[in-house]
Amino acid sequence: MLAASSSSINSSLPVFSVADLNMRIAGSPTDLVENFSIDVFPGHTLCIVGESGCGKSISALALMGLLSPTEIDIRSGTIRFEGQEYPVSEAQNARHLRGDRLAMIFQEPMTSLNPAYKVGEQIAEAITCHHPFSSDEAKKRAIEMLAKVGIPAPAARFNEYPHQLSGGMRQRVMIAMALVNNPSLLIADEPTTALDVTIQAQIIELIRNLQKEANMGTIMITHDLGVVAKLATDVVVMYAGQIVEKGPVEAIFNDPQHPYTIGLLSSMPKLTGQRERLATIPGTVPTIQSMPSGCRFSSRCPFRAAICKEKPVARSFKNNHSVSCHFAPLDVILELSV
Amino acid sequence: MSDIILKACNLKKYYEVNQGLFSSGDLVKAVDDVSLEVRRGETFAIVGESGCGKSTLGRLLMQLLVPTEGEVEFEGKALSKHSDKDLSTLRKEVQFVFQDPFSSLNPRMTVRKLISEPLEIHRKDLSSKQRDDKVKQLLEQVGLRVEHANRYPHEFSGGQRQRIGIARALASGPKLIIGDEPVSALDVSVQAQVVNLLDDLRDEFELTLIIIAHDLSIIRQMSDRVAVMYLGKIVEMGPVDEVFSNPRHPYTLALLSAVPEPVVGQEKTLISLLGETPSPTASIPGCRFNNRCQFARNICRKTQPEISVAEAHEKHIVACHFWQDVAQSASENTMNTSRTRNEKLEARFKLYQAALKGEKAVPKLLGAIEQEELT
Repeated sequence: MLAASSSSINSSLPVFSVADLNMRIAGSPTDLVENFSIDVFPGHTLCIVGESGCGKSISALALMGLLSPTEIDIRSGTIRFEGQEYPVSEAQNARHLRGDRLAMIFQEPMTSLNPAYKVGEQIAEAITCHHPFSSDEAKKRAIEMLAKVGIPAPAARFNEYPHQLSGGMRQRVMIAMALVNNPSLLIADEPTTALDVTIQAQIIELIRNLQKEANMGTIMITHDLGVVAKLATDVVVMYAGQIVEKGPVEAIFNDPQHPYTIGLLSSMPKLTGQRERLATIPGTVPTIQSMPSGCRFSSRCPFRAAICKEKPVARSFKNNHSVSCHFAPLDVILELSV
Repeated sequence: MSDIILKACNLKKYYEVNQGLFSSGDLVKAVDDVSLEVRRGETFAIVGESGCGKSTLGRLLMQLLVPTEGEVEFEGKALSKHSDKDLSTLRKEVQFVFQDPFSSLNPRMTVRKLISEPLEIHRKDLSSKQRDDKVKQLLEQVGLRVEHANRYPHEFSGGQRQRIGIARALASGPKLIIGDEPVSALDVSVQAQVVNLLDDLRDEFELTLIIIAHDLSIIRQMSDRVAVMYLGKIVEMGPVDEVFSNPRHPYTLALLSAVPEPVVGQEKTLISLLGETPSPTASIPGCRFNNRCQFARNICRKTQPEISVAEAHEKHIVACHFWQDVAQSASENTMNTSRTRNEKLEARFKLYQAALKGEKAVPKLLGAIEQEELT
C-alpha cells in the first residue's frame, strides 16, 4: 500500500520539465522556437509531433545541450531535472548527465554509431564513461544489455562492427547504449523513421516494454501520427516553432482543437473504412523570414480571420489539454453550425 | 486498343555480387520471375519493404534496366525488340517520377529549362514560344505559379519540387507514369496535396499510374490494384480493397498488422514476423518467406508455392501453400472489425473541410470576429 501510494506521488511530479524555452539563429530577428514548455512524467511518453522544420528536433538538441552557442542563441528557458534546475543555455555543461541520467536515440543509427569501433565497445564505453567499472564488468553489462534489447547471440554481436548489422539491429544497439545506465529520461528523435514497417513495429514494442520496466520518462519526437497513437501518453503538437496544442493522447486524437491538429489528422490516408479524397492543409510551412505575425498558422488556416493577426494565448481545458487558437474551444462553433 | 497497357512476363533481374577473379560470386535475385498486367487507366501499386525488388521492377518496366530474362510489352510491343530510336519514342509515352525531389532535379537548371527539356526532345514540332506556353500551362496544372519558371530548384520546398518533377514527367504527354515512392519524402500535409494532385492529373490526362511505395495507407488511398512483393517475388496481387480486407498471404497479413494507425486505444493484434528480411544473397529453398512465417510447415521449406487463385471473380492471386489458413486467421484478427469512429471527431473533420472549401460561415457565427477574405 505504502509503496503504491509513494509511486503515485512520484508519478505526479514531472521527472523533467522545461519552462519557456525561446531560441533563435544568432542574429536573426525571429524566434526559431517560441515559449516551449513541457513536463515529462516518469513512466510516461511525451510525443512531440510536427512536420519538418517545426522545431521539434532542434528543441531536443537544445535540451541535451548539443547546439553550438555561436550559431543558436538560446534566449531563455529553464530545465528542471532530478531536483536540479539549470538554464537551457547551460545544458551543454551537463556532460555528467548526458548518456547517464539523460539519454538520446537518433534517427539514423548508421551515422550515429562509430563505424570504426565494435558495437559492444561503444556500449561499454557508455558505462565506463560514467561509472567506475572495470572493462570486464562493463563488457558483461554490455552483453546483458544487448540480450535485453533482443539481439540474438549477444556475446558474438559484441565483437561486430556497425556495418555488419541490419538497420533494425543497429537501432537496437543504439537503444542498448542509451539505456545501459538506466537513465531517468530518454529522448528519442524519430527512432523508427528509417526502418521498415515490420521492424518499426518490433522497435516500438521494445521501447514500450523497456520504458515500462524502468519507469523512465520519454520524449519521443516523430512526424508519424500512427506511432504517436501507439506510444504516447501525452502529445505536444508543434507548428513553425510554436506549441499549438498539447494534452493527453486521447484528447489530441479524439478531441483535437487546433485547426492544424485537425488538418494533420484528416490528411492521413486511412487503412480501413471508406476511401475518400484526402483533406489537405493548403500551402507550405512558412520560412523563418516569412513568418506571419500573430498566429503562425494563420497563413494556411481555413478558419483564418482578422483576429489571427494577434498572437493567440494558450487556453487550457480539462485534463491539461491546452490550445493556442483564438477559436478554441471549437465546440462553440460546432454547435452553432450544426 | 487493348485494355492492357503494360504486360510483364516472367521478368527476372539477377545481379552477381562479390565476384572474385577466379570465383563466381553470389547471385542476387532482385526480381525473380514476376508477371503482371497493368490495365489502361488504372493505378497499379507495387508494395514491399526495402530490398524486395520493387524499385528494380519499376525500372525494368520502362527498360531503364535490361532484364536478365523475360519480357515487358508496352501496348502489345515487346520492349526488347525496340531499336534505340523506338526506345526514345517509348520514353515519350512512359515517364518516371522519382522519390527524392532534392536529388532528381538538376540544381543548375531553372524550372523553365527543367520542364522544357523533355519538350525539346519529344516535341520537336513546337516553336520556342509554344514550348514556353506549354511550360506555363504545365506549371499551373501541377499547382505552381507561372513566375516560378525563372527560379532554381533550391528555392522550392520538397512538395513544390515534387510538383516540378511531376510537371516534367507530364511534359512529353505520356500515357503511363511510373512513380517510385513519389510522396514518401514529403510531410503528411504536403503528401496529401501531392496524392490528390496525382489523382486529378490521372483523370485529366487519362493516365495510367504505377505507384511503387512502402506505405500501405498511401497505396490504399491511391490505387486500384496492388501487388505485394517479398524478396523479388510477387506473393499476392489483386484489387486493393480485396487484398487489404482479405489478405491471403502471411506476409501481407503481417505488413497490414504492423502499420501503426492514428487511432488511440485500438490495439491491433500484431502478427510479428520472426527476425528480419534475409540477405538478398541467401538462397532459401522452398517458399522464400518460410523462415519468418508462422504458418510454415515442411512443404514450405521444400517446394516453392505456385501462384493460385484465391478469389476468381476478383482476380485475387496468392503464392502460398496455406492461403486458406491465412484467410481463416485474417478473418479472426481484429483487423477486420469495423472501426466505429468518434462522432465528435468526424464532425470536426467536416467543419475543417467545410472551411477549406471556403464555406466561411463557420467562424462568422462567433459573431464578434470580423471575417477576412481568404486568399
